[in-house]
Amino acid sequence: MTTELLHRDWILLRRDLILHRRALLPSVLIFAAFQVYFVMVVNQATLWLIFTCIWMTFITVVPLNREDKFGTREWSCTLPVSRADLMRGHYVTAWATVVGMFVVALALAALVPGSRLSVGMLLSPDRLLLAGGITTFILALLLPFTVRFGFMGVMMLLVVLQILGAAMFVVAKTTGNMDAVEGGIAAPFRALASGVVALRETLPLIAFQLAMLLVLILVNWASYRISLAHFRRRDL
Amino acid sequence: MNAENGGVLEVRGLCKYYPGFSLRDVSFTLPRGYIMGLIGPNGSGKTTTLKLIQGLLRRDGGTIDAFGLDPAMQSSQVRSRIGFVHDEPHFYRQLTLAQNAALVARFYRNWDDDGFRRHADAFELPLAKRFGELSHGNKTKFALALALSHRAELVVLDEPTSGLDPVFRRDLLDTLTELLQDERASILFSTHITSDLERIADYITLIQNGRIVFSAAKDEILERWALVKGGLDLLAPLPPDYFRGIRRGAHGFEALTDDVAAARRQLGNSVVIDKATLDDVVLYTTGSDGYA
Repeated sequence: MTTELLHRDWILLRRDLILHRRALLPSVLIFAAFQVYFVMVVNQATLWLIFTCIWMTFITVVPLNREDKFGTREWSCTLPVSRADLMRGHYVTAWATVVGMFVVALALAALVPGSRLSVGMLLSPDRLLLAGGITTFILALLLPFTVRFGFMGVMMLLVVLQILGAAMFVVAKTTGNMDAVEGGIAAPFRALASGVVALRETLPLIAFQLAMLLVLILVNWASYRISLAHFRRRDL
Repeated sequence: MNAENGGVLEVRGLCKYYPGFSLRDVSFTLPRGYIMGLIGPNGSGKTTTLKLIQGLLRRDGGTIDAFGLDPAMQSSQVRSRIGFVHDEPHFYRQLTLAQNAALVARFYRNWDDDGFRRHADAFELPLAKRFGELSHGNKTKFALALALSHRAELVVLDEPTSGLDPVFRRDLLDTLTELLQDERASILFSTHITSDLERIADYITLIQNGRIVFSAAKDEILERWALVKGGLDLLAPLPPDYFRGIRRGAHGFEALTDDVAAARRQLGNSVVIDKATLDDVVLYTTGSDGYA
């Protein structure tokens, strides 16, 4: 059963990578070109990690969007695989893309002459957990959203967020409440961070790391289940 | 007969509701080794029915039994035994036919690569050409070659001949019949072209406004239905729904009946009764002129 699942995932992963190589390759090349510049100017490992993870994660919606764009999703659903297989394949492809890009980014950080970052700075368990956390949470929101609303939905969301951000900035500037607005936006993130810190202080290190890993796996699983529920309901 | 003891596909009470259109209580059985044509005017529910069979749409009621399995519950097992040809085949435009076929092949345990080459040769498909560069006819043929190459027991085609020129269409139907005789597969195909059905179908299911008008063997339909022609004065004593469909002209009427004996008894020798063609049956029962 597990072998069968892995075999299907491998077929679907290969299919996605072959089909979308023309879209993924340029994205990865642009990403790599920027990384060459980025590792020479940034010396804060956490900043590099956050920016890199956000960029990587957004590229993972490319295969999903292209299926919609070329009308091939309907045909994919006539293949002898279930919708659960197809959705799992998308998640596997997304993670394979992320891991592949992360390896490229790490290699560039290590090899680019003049890089201000070292692999040692980036590969600590804490930073890897942070990278996993950022990637997981963005993917967990982005993939179900893309499955439900499509590429245009993602674009609309980004536009709405931009407008909202600009509006809040204008309001904060005009009313002189910049600190309050910033605090309001940052509050959930700060709460999350302090929760994680508190947990870290309470648990032994290895238990904390395993607990975090478990949370990330659960968030991924929940995201997959939500995406699948949307996908199963979808008439093609 | 059901899908376990000889029928490949059994559809019972199939329903799908949309705002402004609903498919209601669609039922038919396709026996193994036969060709069934699903015919009806545009928007009658043919594609919806086929998509429900493929599991592309969620059904709101009814059952589908394919090879004794439910496509909604055992989708991958059912799909591995069905070949699909859509009216507008969507494969990967940027890949060549050979690359597209190689991608598809990995999904099927019983993929027959030699068989695919043979079908591609028979259809004169340019395997090195990109899918996006093919004509509509060649796209359909490619989809058909793929469907036949995993030894599908049931081939479902949605309007395979629409948009094709008559010569190409005839060629495609001939090839389809020959190939499927060799493959011993069953075919379910939708069309709005009755002449296609006359050529190759064993069974015909007529659908209109989301409901089945009839589903029977073609020969039975052609034997049962007849065209009655006579003077307008003969219509006066008849109830308005005596015929299944009627056309009145300046000098007489032409009507369709599914009870020749009753018409002969009632109207005697004052009318001419001819065999109805499939086109007549569809035209009069649906009141649609949208047929070739």
